Amino acid sequence: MEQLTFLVLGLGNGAILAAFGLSLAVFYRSSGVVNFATGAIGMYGAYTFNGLRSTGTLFNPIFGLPAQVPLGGPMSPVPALLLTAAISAVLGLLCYVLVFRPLRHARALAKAVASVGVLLILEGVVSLRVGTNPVGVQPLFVTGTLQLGGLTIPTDRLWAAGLALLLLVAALVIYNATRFGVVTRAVVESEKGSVIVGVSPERVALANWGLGSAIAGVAGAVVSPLVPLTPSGFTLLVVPALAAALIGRFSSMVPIVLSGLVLGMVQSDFSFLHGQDWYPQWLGDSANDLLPLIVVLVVLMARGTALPARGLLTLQSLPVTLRPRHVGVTAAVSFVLGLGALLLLQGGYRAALITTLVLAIIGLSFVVVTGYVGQISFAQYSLAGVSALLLARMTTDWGIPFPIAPLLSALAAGVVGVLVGLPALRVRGVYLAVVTIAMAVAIESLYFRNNALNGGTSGAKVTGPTLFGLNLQIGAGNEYPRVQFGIVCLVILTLVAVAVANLRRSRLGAKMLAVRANERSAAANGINVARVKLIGFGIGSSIAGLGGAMLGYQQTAVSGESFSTLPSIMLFGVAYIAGITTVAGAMVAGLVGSNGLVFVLIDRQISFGDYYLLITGLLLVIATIRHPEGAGGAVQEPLKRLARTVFRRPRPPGEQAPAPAPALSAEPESERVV
Amino acid sequence: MVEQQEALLTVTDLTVRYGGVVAVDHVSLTVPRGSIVGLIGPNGAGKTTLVDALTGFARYTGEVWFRGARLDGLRAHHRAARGLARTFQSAGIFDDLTVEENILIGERSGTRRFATMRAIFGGRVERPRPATERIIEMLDLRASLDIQVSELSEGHRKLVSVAQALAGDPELVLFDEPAAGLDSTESAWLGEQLRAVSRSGVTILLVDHDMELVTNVCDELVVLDFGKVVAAGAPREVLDDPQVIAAYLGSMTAAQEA
Repeated sequence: MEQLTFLVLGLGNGAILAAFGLSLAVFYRSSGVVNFATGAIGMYGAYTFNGLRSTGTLFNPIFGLPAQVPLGGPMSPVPALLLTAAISAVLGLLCYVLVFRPLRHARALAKAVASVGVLLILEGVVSLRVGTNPVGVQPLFVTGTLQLGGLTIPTDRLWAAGLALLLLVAALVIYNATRFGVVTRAVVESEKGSVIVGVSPERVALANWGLGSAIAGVAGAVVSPLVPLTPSGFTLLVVPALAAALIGRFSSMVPIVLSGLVLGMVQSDFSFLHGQDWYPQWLGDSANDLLPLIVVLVVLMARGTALPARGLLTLQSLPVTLRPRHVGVTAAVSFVLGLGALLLLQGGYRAALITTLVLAIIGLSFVVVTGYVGQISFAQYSLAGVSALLLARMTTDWGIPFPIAPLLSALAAGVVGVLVGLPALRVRGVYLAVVTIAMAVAIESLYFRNNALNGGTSGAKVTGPTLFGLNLQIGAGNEYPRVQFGIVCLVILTLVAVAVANLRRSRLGAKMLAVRANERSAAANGINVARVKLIGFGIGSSIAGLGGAMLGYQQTAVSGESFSTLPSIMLFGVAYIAGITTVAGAMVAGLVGSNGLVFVLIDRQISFGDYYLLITGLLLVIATIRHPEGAGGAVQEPLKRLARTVFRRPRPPGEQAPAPAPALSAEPESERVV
Repeated sequence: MVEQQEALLTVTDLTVRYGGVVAVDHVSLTVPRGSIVGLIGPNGAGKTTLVDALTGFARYTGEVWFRGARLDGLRAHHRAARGLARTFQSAGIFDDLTVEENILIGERSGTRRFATMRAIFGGRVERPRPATERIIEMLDLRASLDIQVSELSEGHRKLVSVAQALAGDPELVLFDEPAAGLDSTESAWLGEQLRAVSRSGVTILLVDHDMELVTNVCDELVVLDFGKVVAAGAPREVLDDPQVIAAYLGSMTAAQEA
């Protein structure tokens, strides 16, 4: 009986998952975007609605103007809800016009990356304008209870579930019984067909974006009294919603809404099970977050490639990754430069440089996983965190010495990384991104926030490195940061960078790029695609683990929560902007990454740390639209064109036949259809 | 006319269904070792589907025997590893990579132990092995090795895909419309290269629309129409077969009657 109560309580949570799932389907069906920002749009709606209801003010995202615009006293629920729907719809229209319309011919993966940019922007705006503290929200529904056969049911949960079902019915009517719905489905079938019929697919997509965002916004508003309202809490609700959407293949609305409701109820039921004797206490509250991951994995492994692949057929790839030349010379020069900088810089700036070196190591893991093999992983920073916490356990509790402990923890991260990559055997591209984000949330919940495992509130203590009696620790007090530790980081970074550059020059590296370019023809060439992907995940994740271990040594007391999901997504964004396909890009990522050298330099001038989330999001969106290959490619491409004109290479010989059409050779690699 | 040669590839009753559509309908054929067999047929006859099935990219029923062993149930890369290589219609080569890298990918792994380790930790750039070098010479690609494939002409891209397929030291290569997108002179030149490949001891199954190329190069032709084999034999005989003419012209006359 008690359990039933918990299940019913979960209807509130379930309602929002159902509604977000519905929005995800609307976005995906009309424009092929797996919209990671769906939760963020709901969050925006929730804050807007809350402002209107409690103080009668409208949340204003534009900087320089007051964050709350008074509209004359608190509003009653219905007009507030209508206004929230309208504002959310406008937000969706803006998203489409500014971001996803320019990307309409891009690969699903580029669209997903852009939606992550939108997520960061919305999160950044609300955090800056309202703050990140939980907001108390006055109840929307009459908070009564209903007695049903000895069961006490809070009516607000029923209202919420009812609303989710209402939205479902409305969506079903719209998509099955109106001309708009029929046209939308026609566009899903064939974009070309709809052009011939005389309907602009863009206008259809635009309308759908308005509709999808309104659904998400209203759902966020309605459920905000039932779930704690914080910017990131709401934003990450997109992860279980993605699980629900996957069950319905991003298209069948009834299964999506039902599985959203069920997911929410089961999550709530875990709170009940938590109180049971048999429940493994070390799991803590993490079962909630493990559930979406398991659902995502089961659905993807069972369905595999049978999932719809809208927008995947267009030609657009990551930038050209050339074989690096002069690796030795470049490495030597960079090492000397880094050493000089370490010795020259003092205090905070030296600490920032060390952070840069460590972040660059983690950046190199993205180069292997995403740059070479073409798989998106939002979990690399989480893997670094796993390694850092393991390092604490190894050095402090088990007394494993310096070079062995970080290598072991890196290896462990590599093993976890292969597990992250296992679904990649069956799924491609954007679905893998969904798996890795669910993985990041699960690792955060199971490990980083779990007091049984994360070393408690003061962090997990790491015993500093020593080698042959040499003290290589980062030190404390006035000593901090000691140059010796910086040199260790520099040496490791240099070795890893050279190895990653060399990997590109090996046949395995060429195979990785072949897998990235076209899995079918890679397989036809005898390449075991699954094996290459897993090796890529293994190598990349070990590198992330090595970086994480150095981060652990640097922090001396590892705080698991610093490796949570949002920073993990952020670091992916930074790496993408910096140029995810080259070793040089990873170095740039280290420089501009959070608390890296450039970050600190700018922060000291204009204290832009608060704006970091927002700026990263903006740059990520701009980068995907302008250069889907990342800014590193933007630098490389013009250089290459220059090199081609300066060092005019002889055309290939063998032209006994008259010179074949030159059209192909004149085509720039980065050409895109916009 | 029929020479008694050892059969390298034997296909029996191969059928591919896509939903209710039968794309390949109980096809049986034999490719003798050392020969060049042409597979022709009008658009939609099921040629590429047949190649997909043989190389493990499409599910089928029926039997495929290659070098005396059954291939059914093996995945694409396993079939490639057994010596059954293919090229793709829209050049299955990799634009991001140089000609050399594309060819290198075609080589079977495991030929050199720890080569990857030596490359990563020792900084050695991996180069094609001697056998592959000979292919590069044969196809006259030496001077183009460092050029990125995206910069090549269509004819050269085709040639790179030929070299890539050959680098794996295959017994049999399935060329899927190598002459598509080439003009008649280029196509004739490609035919020369295919003959050279054949002389080096590789058996070829050639799928193409270019009648001139096919009749000049092939020892034997197999004609598909609506997924069925309608004729097989020496090129001249096959092309005079009224059924083949009907298959090729049928759609046209039907259109005229309509």
